[in-house]
Amino acid sequence: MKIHGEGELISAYLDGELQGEEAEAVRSHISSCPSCREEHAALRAAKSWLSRAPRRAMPPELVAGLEARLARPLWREVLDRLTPPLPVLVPAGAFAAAALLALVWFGARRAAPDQSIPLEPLLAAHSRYTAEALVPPTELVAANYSAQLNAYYGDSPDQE
Amino acid sequence: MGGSGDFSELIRRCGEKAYNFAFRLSGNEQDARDLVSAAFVKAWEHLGSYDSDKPFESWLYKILHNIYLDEVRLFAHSHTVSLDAPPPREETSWDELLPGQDPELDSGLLRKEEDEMAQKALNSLPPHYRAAVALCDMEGLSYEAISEVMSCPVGTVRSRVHQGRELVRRAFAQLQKTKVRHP
Repeated sequence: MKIHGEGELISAYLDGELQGEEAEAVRSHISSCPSCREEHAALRAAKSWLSRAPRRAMPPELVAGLEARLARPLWREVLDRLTPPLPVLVPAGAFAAAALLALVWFGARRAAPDQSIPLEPLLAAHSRYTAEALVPPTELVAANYSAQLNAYYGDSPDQE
Repeated sequence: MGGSGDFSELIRRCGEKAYNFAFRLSGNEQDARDLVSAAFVKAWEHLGSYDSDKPFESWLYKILHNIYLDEVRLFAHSHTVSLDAPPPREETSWDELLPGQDPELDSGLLRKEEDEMAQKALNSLPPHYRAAVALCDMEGLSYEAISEVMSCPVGTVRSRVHQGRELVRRAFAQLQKTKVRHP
């Protein structure tokens, strides 16, 4: 294994990344080669210079901001993701209001009293009249017809 | 890993390391804050893809590093930046990088000064070397862990750590020379 001039090997040795025979070979070479020993010392100084640099504390407001934003119950996160944004909510709300108004309007129309004249009682009366009295007196037909209408409608205002 | 309390604990436990790595990559506090915030938010959003057999820190470093590279690439789109190319080797570049020193510094100021110098030296490295050196020498990660974070083979990590350290060494030597020149 060529070691002399192989800076990467010396760096890896310095970082404890070599094991067994490889580490031993580099160690042995450094101890006997002045230029590689110098290279090793210089790299070690650079590593030491960097590792001595002071560490910074994470700003407390950054921690607080992240916790406020992320440390929330999972259900809340899911709910937020399911809830569409405002631009979607506005037209959806308008559509829902219009649909509600339409339902109320149609419902009101269906619930109003029927103003049409029922035909069945008239036809039934006519059929009965036809079957039971082939030649009835005119006043009886008129009386029977009026009585049936009165019985159906009660006191009808249509008395002309 | 599930409840909100767990994630809050992760923020407190890993935040400091992530923040330091982000600071070493970006070189300033505001960008470091943005990087850490973006990394935690992304980690939260993709918590389902986290392999709990591996340290959360490494996963967070990886996310943070990817966001950083995206930002660098975005910047590189309008500027000429290479992720791997070493900086110019002329001494003038290091002269500019390492200004003169005040000989009357107390130990606190000296420490602050060393920190600033270390950061300036790191800032001068191409992004891939900067990340490798910061993870190895400042965060204490193994080559294997760095290869996970940087998504590259261990051999590439070994090369980047060494090249980056060589560049830092040159900066350090230049600093010493500048001190002698401006006592």
